Amino acid sequence: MSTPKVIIISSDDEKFPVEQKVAEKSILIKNMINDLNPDGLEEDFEIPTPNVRSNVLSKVLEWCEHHKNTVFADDEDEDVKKSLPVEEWDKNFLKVDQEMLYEIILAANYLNIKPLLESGCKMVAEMIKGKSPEELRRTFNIVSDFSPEEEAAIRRENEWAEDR
Amino acid sequence: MNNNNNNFTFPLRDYEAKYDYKLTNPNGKLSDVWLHKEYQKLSLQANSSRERRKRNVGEVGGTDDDNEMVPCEDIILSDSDSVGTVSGTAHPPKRRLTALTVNENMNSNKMMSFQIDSPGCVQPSSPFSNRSSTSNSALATATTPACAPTIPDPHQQPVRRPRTPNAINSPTHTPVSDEDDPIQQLPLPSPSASPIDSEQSHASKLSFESIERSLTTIPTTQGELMDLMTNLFGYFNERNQNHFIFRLLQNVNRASLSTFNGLIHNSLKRDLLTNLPVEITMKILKYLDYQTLLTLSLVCKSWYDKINNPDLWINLLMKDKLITDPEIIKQELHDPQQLLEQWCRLPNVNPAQALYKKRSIIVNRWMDPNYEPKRISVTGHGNKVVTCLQHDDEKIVTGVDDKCILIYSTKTGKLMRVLEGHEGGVWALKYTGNTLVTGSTDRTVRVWNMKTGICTHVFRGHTSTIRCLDIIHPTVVGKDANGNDLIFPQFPLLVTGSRDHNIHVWKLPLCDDGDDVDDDTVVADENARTGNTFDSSEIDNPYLIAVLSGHTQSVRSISGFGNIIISGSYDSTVRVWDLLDNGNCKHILTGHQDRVYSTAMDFHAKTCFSGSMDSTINMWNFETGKLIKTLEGHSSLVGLLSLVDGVLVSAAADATLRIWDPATGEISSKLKGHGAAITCFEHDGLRVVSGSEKMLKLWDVKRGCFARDLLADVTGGIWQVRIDYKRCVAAVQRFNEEEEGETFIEILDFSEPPK
Repeated sequence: MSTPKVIIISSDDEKFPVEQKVAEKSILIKNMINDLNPDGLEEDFEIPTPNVRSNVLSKVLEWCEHHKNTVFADDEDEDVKKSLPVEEWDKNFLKVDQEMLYEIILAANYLNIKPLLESGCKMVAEMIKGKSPEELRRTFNIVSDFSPEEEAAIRRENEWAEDR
Repeated sequence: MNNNNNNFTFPLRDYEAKYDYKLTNPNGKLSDVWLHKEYQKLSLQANSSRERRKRNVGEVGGTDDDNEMVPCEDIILSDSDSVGTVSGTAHPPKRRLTALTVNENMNSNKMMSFQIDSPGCVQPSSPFSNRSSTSNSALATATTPACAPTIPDPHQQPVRRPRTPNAINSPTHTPVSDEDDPIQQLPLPSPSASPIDSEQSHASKLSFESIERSLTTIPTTQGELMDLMTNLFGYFNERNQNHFIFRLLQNVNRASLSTFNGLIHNSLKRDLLTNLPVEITMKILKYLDYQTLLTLSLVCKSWYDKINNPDLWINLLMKDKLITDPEIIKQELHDPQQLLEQWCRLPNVNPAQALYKKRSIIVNRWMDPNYEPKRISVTGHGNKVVTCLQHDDEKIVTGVDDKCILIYSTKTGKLMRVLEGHEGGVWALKYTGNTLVTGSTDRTVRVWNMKTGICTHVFRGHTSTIRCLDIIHPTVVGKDANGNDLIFPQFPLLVTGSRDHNIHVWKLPLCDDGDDVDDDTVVADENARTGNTFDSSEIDNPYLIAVLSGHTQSVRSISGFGNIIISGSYDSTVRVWDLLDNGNCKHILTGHQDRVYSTAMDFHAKTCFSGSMDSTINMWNFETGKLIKTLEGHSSLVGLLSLVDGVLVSAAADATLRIWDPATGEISSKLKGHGAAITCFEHDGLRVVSGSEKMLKLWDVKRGCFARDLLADVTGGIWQVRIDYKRCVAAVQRFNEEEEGETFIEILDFSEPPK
């Protein structure tokens, strides 16, 4: 008999059979498996992820597959220390349109895949770094709702932080 | 499967349709109204979503698509066990498609025949149907010629594909939508599948009629055809709309795909910071530095509000080491009125952000050679060597080599108090609150109440000069058997090291406790002035906790924390003492070739450091007693060591300082610039201030380089220097015209408000 698979079902009912190890990158799924199979998996196990559409789920599972042997530091460390750059593979993996990035982040959050959530957040942080307000508006499709006076007042307040 | 995808001109031609752009339920009824795809907003609440799913399945007996399929008798789909099991997370609906692949193909065929048979449908649908299901190529190609002129068709030959896309994906192709579809899907049977049922509502007729209406006019111009096709598009169900677009794209060449690619890519931009849940947005913002954050606040109002968040700035204050103690942040933010008035122009800035601004501006001023701090220079108290110095916002306490302790006002520089009592030079001092302890060449330790200026206790017992001392505050040192915090010591301890080779540990009598102090003050002033004397040889001495013996030479340096005391001695050893084990010597750390002058400890990392006359610094594990590493580089006596906020700094007689990573023992910077041995320094993780003959220098820890000279007019030695975030206090020596030395207390204040 072959090893039982975990079958993850997307919101649009696509089925993704994956190794248990891969599925368990999601702590949500891992806990679900453990709670409902205290003696270990004996047969294929279906898990619906009603918040994640197949396109996104397939992407997320691609990440889980790639990282199935990666050991992530299990630190609940304070946010204070986090500032490392995005890991190279993740960086390329997350070079997607903003909609997809948005949905991957939400999916990682929902499925509780911390390292992916972290990479996603760092990716957005990278997109933000080093841009002027105007560039940021263009990048994120935002229209400024400040009056020129308001903007000038904030600039004055922030003057101290400009490069010396 | 894409190995054979080498259709260069039409890149998508040979791709299979999958996920939500597959063809689904080809026999499903047409949508009765033009269907706009609602954007499916992802819910973070899995449960509510599951609820909805359950409801959908329960009430409708399936989903929109299933519902649609009901009248289509030739689709054999059983969803029978879905209702009961879907509520449990373990078992989602097991949907069984019986003889599915066959049905799929069959359905495909039916759809084609429907399209062909319906008189109105032929023209608009046929251009795409030839690409649709190539396994049905005979049928498909038969329909092609009719409308070929409007859409260039560069590939008349049907492309060979192993199977139809929908067949490949068939096992999972039937979707379960989680959306509550506001649009009532009205059953409309495909004409070829079954005759119109008498029970069907007239609404279905309406939809049929509306399609009919759009098809009554045969388009004769590009515009009309465009309108017609766009019109018809809306009658697909949602996923088939995707599939339809996919088929169109399969017929689009690279250049056009590139056009759409750019268009689509740009259109997918979204305001991620506002759209993502707040806790995720905060995560993202915590990766950014203050300059970026301030830039973000200029983008739009909603971003401004996101940046104007106290947690973000408190996090940043700690991350940038502007304030590393959360307690101090709390204190500073307790009454922020003055802070906001002095440091901000805008009215609605949150206090934490204002505090960051203030602290950051002050750091920048330190590092800016052109900024002149407010300076107070105090003299008039002779030419004394200041051997030790500690200060806070109120007072500067200095111990000098002529028996006195001088206390100055930090704000004005005025000499406030002279504490007299020692009979020899004062060589070590430390205070906590108003309790000051001093050690002297007169072999005594004195405890003073700085508020009253009275010596409250005299500790005798050392038989030689007290050269170093430390105060150990109660702290959490671990967990007890029940998992509760283990706090040690119970009360502050005073640890004194002497040239008599011994270390004494005393209970520190705090004058702020108000126990016996006030009585002494009031009752017998003269007695109090000389202090109550306690000798370590007295059996009933209420203060002596332990005498730590073992060193064979002078004890030169002491670092205490929790239950651990690290002592460095001229006998070349470092000893580790454990107060939880009755003060027994846990380890004798041997390895230095010469006198040990300085020690530092990271209690939580279980490491300690020792600087020696042999020019090296040793890094030890005080738990195991093992030498971890020898930090080499200095070329003479390493007399001073200080470990603060994860930064170790050493200063040596070779006129250099070095910054080390205390976790690895790796050097991060060499600070060169002094002209003589370093006599004193202090650092706070951001700044190092160091003194040598005639020079007081500031170094930038982050950049590991020289920042500026703090005093340019010193003509003698720099005795002592201490810093806090806004002040530098130094005891220096200048020579007058008669070549007589004079001691100055210099106070540099970088914190003047900008307005």
